[in-house]
Amino acid sequence: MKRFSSLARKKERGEKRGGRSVLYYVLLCLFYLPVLSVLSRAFLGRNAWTALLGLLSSEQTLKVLTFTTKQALLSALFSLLLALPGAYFFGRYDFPGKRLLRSMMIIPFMLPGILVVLGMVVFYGRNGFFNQLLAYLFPGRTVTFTELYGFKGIVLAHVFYNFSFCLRMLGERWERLNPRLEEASLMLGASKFETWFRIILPLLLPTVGYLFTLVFLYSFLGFTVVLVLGGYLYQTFEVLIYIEYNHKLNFDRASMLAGLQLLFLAGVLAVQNWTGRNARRYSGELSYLPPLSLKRHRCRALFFLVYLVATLLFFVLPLLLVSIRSFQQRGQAAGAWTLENYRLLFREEFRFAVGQRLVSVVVTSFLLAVVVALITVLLADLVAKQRRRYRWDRSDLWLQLPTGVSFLTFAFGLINLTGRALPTWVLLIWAQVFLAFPLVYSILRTARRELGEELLEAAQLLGATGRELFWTAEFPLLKRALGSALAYGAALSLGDLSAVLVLGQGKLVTLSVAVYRLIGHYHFPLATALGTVFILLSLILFSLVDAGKLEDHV
Amino acid sequence: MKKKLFLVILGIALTLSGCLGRPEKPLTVYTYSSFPTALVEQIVSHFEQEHQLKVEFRSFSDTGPLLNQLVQEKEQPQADVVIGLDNNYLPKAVSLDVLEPYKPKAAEAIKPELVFDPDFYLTPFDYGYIVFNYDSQRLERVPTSHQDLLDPYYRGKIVVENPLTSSPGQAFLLTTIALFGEEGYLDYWRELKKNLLTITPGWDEAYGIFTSGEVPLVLSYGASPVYHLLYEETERYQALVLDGGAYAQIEGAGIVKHAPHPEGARLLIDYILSPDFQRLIPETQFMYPVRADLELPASFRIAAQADRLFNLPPEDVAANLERWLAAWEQVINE
Repeated sequence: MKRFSSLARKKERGEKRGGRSVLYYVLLCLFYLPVLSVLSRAFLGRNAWTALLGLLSSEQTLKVLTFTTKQALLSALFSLLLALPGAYFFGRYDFPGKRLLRSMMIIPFMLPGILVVLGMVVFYGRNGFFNQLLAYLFPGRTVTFTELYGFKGIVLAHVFYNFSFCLRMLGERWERLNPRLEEASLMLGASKFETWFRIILPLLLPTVGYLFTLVFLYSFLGFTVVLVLGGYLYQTFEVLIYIEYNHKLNFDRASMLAGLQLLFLAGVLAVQNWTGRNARRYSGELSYLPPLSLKRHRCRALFFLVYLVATLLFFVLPLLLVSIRSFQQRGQAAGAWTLENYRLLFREEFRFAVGQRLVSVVVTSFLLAVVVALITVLLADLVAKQRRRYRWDRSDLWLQLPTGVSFLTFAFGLINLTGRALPTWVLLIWAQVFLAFPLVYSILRTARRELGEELLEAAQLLGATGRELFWTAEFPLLKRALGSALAYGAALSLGDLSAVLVLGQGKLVTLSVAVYRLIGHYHFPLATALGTVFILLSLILFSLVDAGKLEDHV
Repeated sequence: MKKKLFLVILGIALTLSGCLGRPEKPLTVYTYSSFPTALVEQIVSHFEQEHQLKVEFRSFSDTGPLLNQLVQEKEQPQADVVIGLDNNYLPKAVSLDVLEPYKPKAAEAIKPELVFDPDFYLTPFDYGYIVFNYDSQRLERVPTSHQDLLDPYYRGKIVVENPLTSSPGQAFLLTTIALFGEEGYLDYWRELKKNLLTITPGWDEAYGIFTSGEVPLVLSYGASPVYHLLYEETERYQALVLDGGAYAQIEGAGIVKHAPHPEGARLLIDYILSPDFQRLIPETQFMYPVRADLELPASFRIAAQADRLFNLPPEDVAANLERWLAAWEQVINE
């Protein structure tokens, strides 16, 4: 009885604060103090408002805003359109190689931008694989693809980056739709089309909306890809901020641009939050269903095969071609095969270019990634647990905003705020948790919300202690979400370059830094070899995480 | 008993104060992150053996962020020496008041045309030419002048770096100003633009696209081919000196104003001009040493040889660069 009353009291207290705990506010401080320190610089200085008006009315700002928004919208649209059929198959069917493919989908997220760009060039470029293929298929006729360098190329690259991640997230969502709803609808005489539009689509819509916003934000904040492929015609805000801060040393203007960008993206998030509210009402009706075997649906299997081959060709081959380069004799375009580049990874040559040995680069990268992923998941899960009884609302929005803050801005704010007084690794973990939190939180928030209160309360009433409750009731149900959250947390940390470069002071060398240093010393083949090693190691890591969470399923 | 307690407390206090009393801070050097490890290790071991001094390096992604850090720390400088600010950064660094002039003992040994700062806020220690490189297997018509590059034959065959974000890119912009004057350089770029496949943010991306076989012409360094000769035993990639000249990027080292260890800092500046250190530069940094009395290694036969320098006076660059860049940006966006 006593237990029950304390539970009720706790519930009441939580209700009053809307599930916002001390932890929630601590997180807000950790995330927003650095941002505020940048903004205060922008908006509290002398003549700030005149300068702001000038910026707002300038033609360049408008041009950049139009371009950035347009490419981000298109990138988000195409990423989702491409991901939709795949998500259906991943959500509904079981087929050999599914697990490996699922793990592979995180790879683009953790690769240094320059390797992705090189992959695009080697595949889609003027002398690239795709054009050679076209020339082979249509001899005599001049069918060529020359759109890589420009607007279409930028959208293509952003789709390349984001579509697999959409596929995975949407597929995992699809898996949890309750099939009984569909069956009931069909039985009540609704057509397949009607069922899809009125039952399935509304259930998927919150995830689709969220992913759309996320890809929009990631593309809006695009940097390397836009700079390399856009050449000179296209600039994002992120590019402007970088130039103002690092090359013109105009801190106030840089902060102001960052502030404007933040306000705009906060607006986007708020709109998404508002439109997504109605859709979220549906999200209660969920359950797992055993996946169907593709072998029994021949026609669909064929369609899926075509889809798979096409996506592998256009999205996996570019990266594979970069890897292939690492097995070629140096200095030869299509020379003999060799393992020389891999041998050199362990030699002095590597250490001289990178500053550290391969082993220490690998250990540093993965240690950092695992620590960041664990901390992020722990914090996100605690907050998600506290807020599980509430609908997604403004409080969650505040925790999503880091996606709208340019990461460059955050790192500068962090330095501004702490003056480098804290040890490097603390700053680095702080920054990377900031980077990974929104995505990780949204995965766990949804999972916690769907977990259902009844089960936990029943277990609690039956006398389960906190730890028992977690291991016997919560953990098995959350396993899948926790696995995904960990994988994405780790991938975002592995892929991060800016934070390590800005905060690492050259002492911490991770994968991305090492790749850049190798390239800076002309060691392109070594850089591709290192990239390949990391793809393989990460695949193993992600497969382990995914294997852990699929166990109960197979 | 009390006495014992007192002794224990005293002991703890002493240990604590020992821990808190800061150990001697090492001589600190700021540089950019691609500064070769071999040179870093040479400096560290030399100072340990000869001067019993500990040297620590901190590296930054690029020269911009490095200068940024110096400005942020102006009240309480943490660094003693900065390595890697080039001739184009001199006016900015001087006007930001972060450097202390020091004329090194071996100042006379430096080739006189390389001394870009008569006050020695920055001492030159290496230099290289910013020139085009070409892929001899993919380019049949090799250009000889900057005007040649405007020929439609080169459409989509050239990649250059952005002068707003990269130092080779900036040097090339200055080259066009030196050649065609303030009246002519924008027209030149209007034409050149048509032949550019893309403009990349930094050297890494441009050179990556070049070695992928996507373009046969790239803006790079005069000694880039030396790397391919040394490590890949190929002479496929060649440096291209157009109009018989080149823009020199001269890298300097300087002492930070109010440095914690001015003595050690001066020793370090003197050391990097010593023949021992200068001899290491060509095949680690792929740049030329600044001393006039050194012979170059055999591999440098393939590096660019420029008869004249296009370099503009630093004070001209300082006074006009912002304007030139802004005008360039506008033309490129037309």
